[in-house]
Amino acid sequence: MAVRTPLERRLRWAVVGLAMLCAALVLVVVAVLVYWKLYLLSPGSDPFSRGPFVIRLGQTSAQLAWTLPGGRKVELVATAPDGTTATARDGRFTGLEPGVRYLWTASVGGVGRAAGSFHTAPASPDAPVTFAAIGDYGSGTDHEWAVGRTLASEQPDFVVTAGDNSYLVGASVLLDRNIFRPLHDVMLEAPLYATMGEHDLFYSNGAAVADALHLPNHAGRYAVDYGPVQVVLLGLDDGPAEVAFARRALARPGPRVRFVVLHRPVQPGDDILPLLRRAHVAAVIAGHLHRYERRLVGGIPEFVVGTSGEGPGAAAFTKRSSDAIVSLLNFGSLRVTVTAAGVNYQFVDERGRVLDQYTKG
Amino acid sequence: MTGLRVAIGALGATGFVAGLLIAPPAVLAPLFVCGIAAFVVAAGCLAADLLPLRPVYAATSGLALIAAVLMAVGGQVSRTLAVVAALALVLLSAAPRLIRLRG
Repeated sequence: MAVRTPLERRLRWAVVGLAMLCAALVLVVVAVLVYWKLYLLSPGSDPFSRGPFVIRLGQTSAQLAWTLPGGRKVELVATAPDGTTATARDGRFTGLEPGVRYLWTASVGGVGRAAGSFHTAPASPDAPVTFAAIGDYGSGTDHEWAVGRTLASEQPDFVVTAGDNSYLVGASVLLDRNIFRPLHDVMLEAPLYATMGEHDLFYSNGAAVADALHLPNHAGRYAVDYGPVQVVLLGLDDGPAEVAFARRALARPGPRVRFVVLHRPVQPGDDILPLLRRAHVAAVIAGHLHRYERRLVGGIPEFVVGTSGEGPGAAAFTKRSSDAIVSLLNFGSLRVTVTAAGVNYQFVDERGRVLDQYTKG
Repeated sequence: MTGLRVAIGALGATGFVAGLLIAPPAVLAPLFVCGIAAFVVAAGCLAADLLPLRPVYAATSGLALIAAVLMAVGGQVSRTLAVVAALALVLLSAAPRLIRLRG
């Protein structure tokens, strides 16, 4: 080994010390990075770009839908209060018990990524059913988000909409902002049965909204049965085609309590009114007018729920109906509770206050 | 830099004995501490072997760096891996002296 001067030896020791210091610093940096990744970074983002959300509920079945980029596999499991579980195939649960609230979990890659619950339709004709109605809501405003929160807290069995689900138009690119995000929490729990308003139909003739919500057709004209309740959704208005459809749907035996939902309110003298009376329709639920109104049209209670998100607009287009028993500009939704004793209607505003209540035995 | 090499060997031996005598998960702590210390010392040893360059010595120091990391974190995967890494540290610290004796 070569002979070194004291200075060379000191320099060499200095280099050695520096190298050890660098190694220690590397370890500190690695430790910080590991800690950051394990404890400071947020969990992985939601892999679903939409949903999962409940789209159909029957007595023994339930269907969920979602959008998951990359085509990854989703495992859906529903658990009953007694601990029994069911696994969905293609998003559809079968063999469920009627009238039971199931908790469901959606897992991707072995990690639970979404969870909610649904209440299967009861088999008993006297079983209570609660649903909510909204209209003219799809604007992504703070008011729509507020209404969405109150809806979720109510845990309705299902939600019906009276149209204008997306402003200004029902374009696919707007639907997450206008429907799926504001109503995310309630759509984890309850299917959204929507009919169409002008704003939905103006663009793509309603196809974008109908396809996104997995509706049976683009016009928003279909009927839903849930236990003792039947809801007949007509679409934009009560024209001849809609009346013919309503006649067929309302003639079907079985449901104890029937509701009709459409976008434009039924007016006195409309052709559909005799049919509604004959079928003993409990109430008509509509939107279009950006007010909440309770009316009695041709002897049929009619609820206009046009303040679930979009603002009241110009006063000239938001006039109080002359025959309105109650007419409000507050944002909110209609809560409908069907029991063996009758039907209770409550208009719940965005702050959770009941501003109007009506019961019919 | 015999002192640093002895230190590496001592840390490796400590880790090796701990790996044999202490059951998981308690063994992870001594393996980790010894591995981290050996990593820092091996870095100094490598620097010393590079100035002036002594290729064989530097290679053993570089390998000791890797073995130290394996000893520190390998126990999380397998105790055997960490024990083998600790044994490797002992052998690598002794390797230059053995090579010189044979030469």
